Amino acid sequence: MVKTRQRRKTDAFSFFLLTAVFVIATCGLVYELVAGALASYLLGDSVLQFSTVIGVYLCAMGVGSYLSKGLEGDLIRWFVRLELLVGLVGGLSGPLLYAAFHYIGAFPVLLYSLVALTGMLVGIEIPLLMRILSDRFTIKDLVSRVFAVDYLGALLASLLFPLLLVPYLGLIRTSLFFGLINTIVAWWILFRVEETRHFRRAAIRLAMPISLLLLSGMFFSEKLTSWVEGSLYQDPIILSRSSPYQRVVITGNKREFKLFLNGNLQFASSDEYRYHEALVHPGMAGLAQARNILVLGGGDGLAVREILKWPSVKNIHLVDLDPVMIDLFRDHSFFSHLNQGALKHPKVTVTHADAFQWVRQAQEQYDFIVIDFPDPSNYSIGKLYTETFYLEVKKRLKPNGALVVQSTSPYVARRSFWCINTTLDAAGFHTIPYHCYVPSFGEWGYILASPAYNLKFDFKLPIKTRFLSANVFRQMLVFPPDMAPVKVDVNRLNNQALVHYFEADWGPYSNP
Amino acid sequence: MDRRSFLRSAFWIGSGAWLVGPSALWSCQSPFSIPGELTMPNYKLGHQLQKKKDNPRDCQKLSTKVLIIGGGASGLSARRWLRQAGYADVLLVELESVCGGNARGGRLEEMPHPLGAHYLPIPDSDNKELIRFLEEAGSIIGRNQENLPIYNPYHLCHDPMERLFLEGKWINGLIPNYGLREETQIQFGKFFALTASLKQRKGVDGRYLFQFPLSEASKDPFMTELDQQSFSDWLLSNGFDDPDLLHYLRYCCKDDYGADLPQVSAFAGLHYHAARRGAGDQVASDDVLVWPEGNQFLINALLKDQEGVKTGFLVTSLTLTDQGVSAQAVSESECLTIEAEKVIMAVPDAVACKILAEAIPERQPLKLTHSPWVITQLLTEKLPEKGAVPLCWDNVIHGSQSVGYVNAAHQQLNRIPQKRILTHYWPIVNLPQKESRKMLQSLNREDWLAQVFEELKPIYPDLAQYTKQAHIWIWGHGMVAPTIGLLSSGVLQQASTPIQNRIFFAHTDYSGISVFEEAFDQGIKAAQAILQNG
Ligand SMILES: Cc1cc2nc3c(=O)[nH]c(=O)nc-3n(C[C@H](O)[C@H](O)[C@H](O)COP(=O)(O)OP(=O)(O)OC[C@H]3O[C@@H](n4cnc5c(N)ncnc54)[C@H](O)[C@@H]3O)c2cc1C
Repeated sequence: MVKTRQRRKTDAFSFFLLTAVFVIATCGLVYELVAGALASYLLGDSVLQFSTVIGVYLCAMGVGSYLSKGLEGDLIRWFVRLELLVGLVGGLSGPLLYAAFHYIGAFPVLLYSLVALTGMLVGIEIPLLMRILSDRFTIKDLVSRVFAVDYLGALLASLLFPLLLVPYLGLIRTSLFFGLINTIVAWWILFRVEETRHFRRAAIRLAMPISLLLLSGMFFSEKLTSWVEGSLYQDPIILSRSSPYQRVVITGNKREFKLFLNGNLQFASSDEYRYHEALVHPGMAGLAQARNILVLGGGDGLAVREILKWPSVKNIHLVDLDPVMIDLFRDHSFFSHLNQGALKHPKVTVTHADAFQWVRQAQEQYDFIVIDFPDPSNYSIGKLYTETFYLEVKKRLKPNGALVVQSTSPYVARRSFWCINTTLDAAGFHTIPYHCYVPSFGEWGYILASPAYNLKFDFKLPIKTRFLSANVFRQMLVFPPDMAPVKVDVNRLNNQALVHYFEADWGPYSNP
Repeated sequence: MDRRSFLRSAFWIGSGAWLVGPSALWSCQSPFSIPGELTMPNYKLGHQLQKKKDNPRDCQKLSTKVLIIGGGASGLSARRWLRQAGYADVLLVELESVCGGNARGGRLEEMPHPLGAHYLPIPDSDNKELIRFLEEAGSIIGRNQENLPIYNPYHLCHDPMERLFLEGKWINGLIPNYGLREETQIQFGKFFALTASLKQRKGVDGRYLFQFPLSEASKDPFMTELDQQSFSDWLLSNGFDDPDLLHYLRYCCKDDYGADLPQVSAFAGLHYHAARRGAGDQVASDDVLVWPEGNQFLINALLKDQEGVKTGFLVTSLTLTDQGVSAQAVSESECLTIEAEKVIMAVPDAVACKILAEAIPERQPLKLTHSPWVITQLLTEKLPEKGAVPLCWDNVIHGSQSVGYVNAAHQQLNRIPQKRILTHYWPIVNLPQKESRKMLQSLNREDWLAQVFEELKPIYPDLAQYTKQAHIWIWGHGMVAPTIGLLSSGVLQQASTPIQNRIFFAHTDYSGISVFEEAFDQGIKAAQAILQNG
C-alpha cells in the first residue's frame, strides 16, 4: 500500500518534470528566435543574423551543459533557481535588445552576450533535469523520453512563433511572456513538489519580484515600444544607424522603403522621383548649360542622380554633414541601386562637412547650387536657412548661376515657405517659388533663386523624366489662394523667425 | 563625511562599479575627479606690492613718452586713442602674461571661452566713438539707407538668446511668462513702462538722464536724487513690491553690478534698464554682441598691434622726476625702470594708490565695493539637454545664487557641436569684504565645484559624467558696484583728476559702473587729456 502511493507520487513527479522539459524547450527556442528576428530586423541580412544567433546559442548551450556538472547538492533547488534566472534573462532579452537599438553601435555586443547567456542557462536545464530524474528511470528511458519531449517542445515553439506569437504578441511581449512561463515552471515545482518545502520561502522571495517584473513588462511593453520608436514607423525597420548628428532609420514594406532622419520622413522610394525631379530639373533647364554643380545636404545621392542626367554637367560637389548617410548610399548595394550609383560616379566629389562652415571657407564658384537640407525644425538647422547663410552661398554662385532650396510644404507650413522666399529676397536674389504634389509628403515647395534675372522657362526637357515636363512646371508656378504669399519676417541668425514659424505651422500636425 | 571616508567609500563604489561595468563606473564619477585648476589672477599682485621688492640697481632702463600701467580695456582704449592720434611712443605695461583684465578669454582644447566679460549691448547712436570702434573691429559692417549701422550677423547673439529654469522646467526668456499672478503682471508692466519713458527722458542740460558713457549723461538734480537712495527703497516707495518683480530685478543687479538691491543706488538700478537705446539695421535695442571668446574679442580689436606692450611686468612704484615720472616694474626674473613724460594709471584705484604711495603719500584709496566673482568653466562632451527649450546663450536658474551660465559655443555655426564649454558666473554678494576674502582663500577647487554641480543638478543630473575639465577662475575684485551716492558724490571725478599734468587715470573704478563702454570711455578721456595739454 505504502509502496503504491509512493509509486504514484513518483509518477506524478516525473510527469511534472517531463512537462517542464517540454515547456523549457519551447521557451528556449523562443528566446533564440526572438534574438534572431530582432537581429535581422535591426541589422538587416536575416540569413547571416539567424545563422550567427543560432550558432552562438547552440554553442552556449553546449557550454551550459558542460558546466552543469558543477552543480552539486540539492538539485531541485538548483533547478528552481535556474528557471527563475532563465525567465529573467530570457524574458528581458527581447525588451533589452529592442531598447538597445537606440544605441546601435553597442547592439551586436549586447545581442551576442545575451544570446550566449541565455543559451548557457538553457543549456544547463536539460542535463540538470536528467540528473534529477536519473534515479527514477533507466538511462535508456530517460534519454528517450527527455529528448522526445525536448524536440517536441522545439517544434511547438517553431510553429507558434511565426503563426501566433509574432503577429499577436509582438516580439517584446513574446519574450516577456515566455520568461513568465519559465518562472511559472518554478512556481509550479515549488508548490507541487514536496521536496521543495524547506527552501520554499527563500525561493518565493526570489520568484516574486522576477515574476512581477516580467508581468509589468508585459503591461508596459507597448509603452516601451513606442518609447523606443516614438511610434513613428508604420513599417518594420530594415536598418537603423546613429551618427553623431542624427538617427538614420530605414523602414520598408513590400511596395517601398522610407528614409527617416531623426524621425522625419526624408523620402519614400515609391515617389521620391517626383520630389527630386522637381528639385533639380527646373533650375537645370532654366540655366541650360550648367557645368559645375554644388549640392548641399542630400547625402542620399538622389538629387545627384537627377543632375547626372544632364550631359552639360562636368562635376558635382556634394557636401553633406553625415558620413553615415553617405556611406550607406554609396556602399550599400540596396541604396546605391536607388540612386543608380550616383555617389560613385567619377564626376562626383563628396565632402563631409558642415555646410555653413564649408560655404564660408570655400573658394570655388558654381553654376547651380541645390540646397536640400532637412526641414527647419530646430535652431541648428534653422541657421542654414538664414539671410546670412544665403549671402554666403551667393558668393559661391557664378553671377549667372542659380540655386534651388527645398522649402517645406507651402500648404501645411505656409508662413515657413514664404519666410524662406522673403529671406532669399532679402539676400538679394530674384526668386521663383513653385510647388508640386508628392504623395508621401503632400504639397511640397521649392524656391529657385538667382542673383541675375536670367532663368528661361520656355524649356523642353532634353532628358528622361517620369513626372516633370514643361507643362507640369508651368502649373507648379501657380499658387492657389490657400498657399498664396503671406507677409512674414526675414529669417536671421538673431531672430530664427523660420524655426518659430515652422514650429507653429507644423505644431498642430505633430500632436494629433 | 570627511575626505578620507569619502575616498574610502568612493573606492568601494568604484571597485563595485568595475564589476558591474564601465557605464556604471561613469555614473558615479564625482566632480572631484574631473581634471582642472583653480586660478586667481592678480593674486600675486597684492603680495608683491606689499613686499615691494627693493630696487635692484641693475634694472633695465626704458624711456617712453607715455606710460600706460594696466592692459585692461581702459588702458588699451587709451593706447588705441593715443596711437591713432599719432603718438607712437607709448609703452603699456601689464602684469598678466596677456592683456585684457576682466575682459579676458581663454581656451580649452582649442575652444575659446570667456573668463569674465562676455557681451556688449549694441550701443546708442550717440555713442559715436564706440560705433567707430565697432566698425574697426568688424562688428559693424556697413550702414543701411537710414544710416543705421548694420551689425555683423555673426556677432549679434543668435536666437535663442536666453532661457530661465523655473520650477524644474526651462522657459524662453528671463521673465516668467506663465502662471504669474495678476498683480505681478501689472507691476512688471508698470516697471517696464516707467523705464521705457525714462529711456527717453532728458535733464535740464538737454542730455539723457541715463546714458553710456556716464560722462555724457545729464547732471540733472533728479539724477542726484535717485543716486542718494538705495534701489530697494526706491522700488518700495514707488509701489514695486511684488516678489517676482523684485526677484527679477535682484538678478539684474547681481548680473550687472555683482551687488544686491539694497546696495546699489536707485539711479544705477534703473540705469540697467533705461540706458539702452541701441539702434541698428534689423536689430532690437536689447540685442547684444557676443563672441565665443567673450570680450577678449574687443580686447584683440583694441590691440591690433603689439608694439610697445610689455606683459608679465608688475609696476610696483612710481616717483615724480624733473621731466615726468619714473616707474619701477618687476617680472619674475627681471626689473625695469621706466622714465616717462606722462603716465596713465589704468589699474584699480586701490592698486593705483599703492603704486603712488611714495609720490603722493596723502592719496587715500576710494571706499569701493567690489564683489568677487567665481567663474567655472565646464568643458563638456555630448551633454544632453532635456525639455523643449534648447540650450541658449544665456541660461539663468531661478532662485539660484549664481547668475547662470553661458554657452561659449553658442555662435558656432556647425550643427550640434559635441563639445561645449559652459561658463558659469557666480558673484559673491552680501558678504563683508573681509569674510569674502577669507572665503576665497580657504575654499579649494573641489569646494567650489561641489556647489556649482549641486546648483546644476536639477538641470544636468549626470553632469560629472559628461564633464572632461572643470576649472575655477576667481576674480577677487570683480567689478565696482555703484553703491548709494557713489556716482553723484563727485569722489570719482576727484580721484581721477590728472595730477600735475603728468599722472592720469583711466579705470572703470572711476566710472562707478564696470562695463566695456565705460572702460572704453575712460581710456579715451585720459588720452584726450594728455593730447590737450601737449
Ligand atoms: C565676471 C565679470 C563679468 C563681466 N561681464 C561683463 C560683460 O558681460 N560686459 C561688460 O561690458 N562688462 C563686463 N564686466 C566688466 C568688464 O570686465 C570691465 O568693465 C572691464 O573689463 C574693465 O576694464 P578696466 O581696464 O577698467 O579694468 P581691469 O580689467 O581691471 O584692468 C586692469 C588691468 O591692469 C592690470 N594691472 C593691475 N595692477 C597692475 C600693476 N601693478 N602693474 C601692471 N598691470 C597691472 C590687470 O592685470 C588688468 O589687466 C564683467 C566683469 C566681471 C568681473
